[in-house]
Amino acid sequence: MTFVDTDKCDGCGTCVSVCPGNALLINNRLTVSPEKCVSCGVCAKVCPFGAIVLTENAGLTEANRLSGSGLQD
Amino acid sequence: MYSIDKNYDIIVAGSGPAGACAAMSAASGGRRVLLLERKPVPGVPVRCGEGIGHQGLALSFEPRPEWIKSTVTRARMLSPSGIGVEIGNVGKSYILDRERMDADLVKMAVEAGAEFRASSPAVWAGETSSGRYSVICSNNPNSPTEGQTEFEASCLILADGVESRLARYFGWDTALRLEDIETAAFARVEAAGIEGDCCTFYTGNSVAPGGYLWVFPRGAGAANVGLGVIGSRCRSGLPRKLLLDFIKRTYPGGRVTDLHCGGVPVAKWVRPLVRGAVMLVGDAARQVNAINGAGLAYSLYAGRLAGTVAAGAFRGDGNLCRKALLGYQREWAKVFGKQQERSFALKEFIMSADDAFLDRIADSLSKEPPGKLSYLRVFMRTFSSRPLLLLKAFKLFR
Ligand SMILES: Cc1cc2nc3c(=O)[nH]c(=O)nc-3n(C[C@H](O)[C@H](O)[C@H](O)COP(=O)(O)OP(=O)(O)OC[C@H]3O[C@@H](n4cnc5c(N)ncnc54)[C@H](O)[C@@H]3O)c2cc1C
Ligand code: SF4
Ligand code: SF4
Repeated sequence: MTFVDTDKCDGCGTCVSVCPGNALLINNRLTVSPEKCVSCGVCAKVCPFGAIVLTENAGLTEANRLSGSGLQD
Repeated sequence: MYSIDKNYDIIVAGSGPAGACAAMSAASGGRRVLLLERKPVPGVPVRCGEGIGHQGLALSFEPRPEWIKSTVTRARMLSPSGIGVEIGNVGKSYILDRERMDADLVKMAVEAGAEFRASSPAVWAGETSSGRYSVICSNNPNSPTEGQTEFEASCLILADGVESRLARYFGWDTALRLEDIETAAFARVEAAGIEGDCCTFYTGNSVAPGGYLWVFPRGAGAANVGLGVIGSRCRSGLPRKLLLDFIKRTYPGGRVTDLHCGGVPVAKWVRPLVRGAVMLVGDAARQVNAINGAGLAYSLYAGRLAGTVAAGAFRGDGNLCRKALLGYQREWAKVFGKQQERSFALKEFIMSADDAFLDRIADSLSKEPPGKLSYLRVFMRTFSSRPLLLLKAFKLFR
């Protein structure tokens, strides 16, 4: 499970480019589709600003509440 | 609220240099073009060192004075232990004002007849039952799913940059391996002592593991300072930390503004570049020089090429001939494809160089007169100290 610190995130898309599950999407800010996340952790590893944290239980953070389960795929 | 607009021939997603050029050329060719951009203002924030060679720019556009912040004629490379190599012959290069240039390119696309929509992130794309393509844009900055507009066209040009996310809806696996991405942090620095006509490069494990640090002057006393770290050796937040440490060390008392980050694909260009009537351009197609991360010249060229080919593929009756789109890949492969593949192959070698090796090369080069040194000579010297690699390199260049 992936948690995004939206204050630190610069919206650069580096994490999106390596995500194997296509779980990340930048709309206005970065959002995660939990059902697509395979918890591989590469997004956190490459984030130049350290804005992504992997957690067991990400809880109801701003970013996760926005996550796009309604996307058409 | 949901609305559909089917009135387009070509949709271009992403208005960076690749997308703006594609839209410009496609609209100039008489097609109805929609250019979608996620950001409210194209080109802001700038995620680029803004360096480009005269030739690379001139291939696509006559360089405009208002696009150029400074002209660079020499470079300096610093090895891990601080041995400096002066390169007096770098050819004419520019440090651009990309905010200005990106805005102008979009303006030129609009003047050519393209419709431009800012604040319009494409969140989904796919083929319709009638063989056209649909792109869904989110209108709500707080939710990708509430409030959407659907657009339809016969042809798509995907120019969504390093993310290359939209391509995945059409069967491309564009997710980058960690060995194929440079993860970067960069800032504008104002400090006394920054030379207006000289680019400086720093190498070494403690500076930028598997990458390099660049200082590109925007005139005397101000520069773009940034660094890239190879993804496989990165850890969360490392580029930012390395950059701020470097700036503190090198420019005590300097002023730091516009701290941002970004990713540079250093992969092989994506094959195929065209599927059905969907084309990839720019960073989205990994059209980047894998050795130094430069993608601007390729993006401008590929964007114009793709747009021109796409417009030309429409017949007199308005129907699209998909086969004609393949001309884009053929031309790209001919003009830049080989060159890009060579860079990719040589990247492997550059990545494997350790600090001691870089120091040794720098030491031998520093004894040569700077006027005689060109990038090519530095390159050859580097290789000649590893004969097997030289052999490999020659095979590649043949
Ligand atoms: C730190 C850094 C330094 C660099 N320095 C240099 C350099 O000095 N010289 C050089 O030649 N190259 C450099 N590059 C590379 C260069 O910036 C890129 O190759 C170039 O910008 C690629 O152009 P593009 O149009 O393909 O992508 P981009 O310029 O990234 O444009 C993509 C656009 O698409 C938009 N977008 C993304 N997703 C969507 C979506 N779903 N819907 C709508 N819009 C979307 C983005 O907002 C963006 O505006 C650097 C890159 C980085 C990250
Ligand atoms: S890599 Fe980091 S800063 Fe960039 S978009 Fe992802 S979380 Fe945000
Ligand atoms: S942990 Fe892996 S799958 Fe999940 S969002 Fe990050 S990169 Fe994607």
